[in-house]
Amino acid sequence: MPEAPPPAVNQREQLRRFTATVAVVAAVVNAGLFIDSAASQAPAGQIESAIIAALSSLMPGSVHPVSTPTHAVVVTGAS
Amino acid sequence: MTPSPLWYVDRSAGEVTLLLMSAVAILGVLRAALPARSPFMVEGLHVNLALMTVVFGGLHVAASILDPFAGLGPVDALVPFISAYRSTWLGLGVVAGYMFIATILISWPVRRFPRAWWRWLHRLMYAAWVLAVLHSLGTGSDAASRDFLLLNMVAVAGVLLAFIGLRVSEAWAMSPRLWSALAALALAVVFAIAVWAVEGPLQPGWARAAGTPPGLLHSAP
Repeated sequence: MPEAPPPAVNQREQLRRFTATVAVVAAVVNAGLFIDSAASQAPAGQIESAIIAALSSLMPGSVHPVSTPTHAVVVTGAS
Repeated sequence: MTPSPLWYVDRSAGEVTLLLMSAVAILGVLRAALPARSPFMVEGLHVNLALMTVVFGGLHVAASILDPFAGLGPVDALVPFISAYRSTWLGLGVVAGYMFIATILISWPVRRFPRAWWRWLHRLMYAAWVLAVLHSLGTGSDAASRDFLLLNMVAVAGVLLAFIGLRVSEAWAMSPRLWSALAALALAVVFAIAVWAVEGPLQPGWARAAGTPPGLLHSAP
């Protein structure tokens, strides 16, 4: 049967987990407030652009603006 | 001129900085009031969250400098009360930042002063936190937003409850007069902030009264 780690190690690990959890929660709250803040001021289309621009600045090339077709797509029947 | 995404990053990171600062204050109160209860965990979290506050505070400052909307520069972030944008309220944030950094520097990674001195210097954190709340409400373009307001109320109520419920109640027996006065002072400060918020930042037209440059008034609440 493996030996239980000493309490100090357990507490250190617990502290690391708590800290990581708080960091994730803080990042999620930050993202939520970013959207809330943008939504309160920007028109609907600009919010998506703002989110995409923010993500692009953090991770270049990871996201691309959603392109809207400028011409109607013509669907023809199978010949 | 319309705000850029960095403007929203600035605002959201500022609010998260205040929330983390409040959590750090609550953990500090907990550590002082109940020194025997999980000292490693409480002190460890207190330190780690203080450093996390610096990270989000740094993001808040960096976004405000990089964003072109309010026209803030590095000098505005370093020298209080000189910015063209909401000078007084932004200046309080700069002062709060310096006090917070000073509080960390005298404590981490090792305490740099004799215990009694350190304790009084560490209490600067309370003043820094009050200035940060005033900065958040006075400068914050989202002060009247429901979510931001709710989070601010949670932060203030949390610190006040921890201070009175833990610190004052634990130390009261040692010096009832001193701790009654400190509890009354804490309640008076929070009451004054609430009254000021209702009369000021939560009223229409606060942007103009707070010192927003005329060119930005159409897009600032």
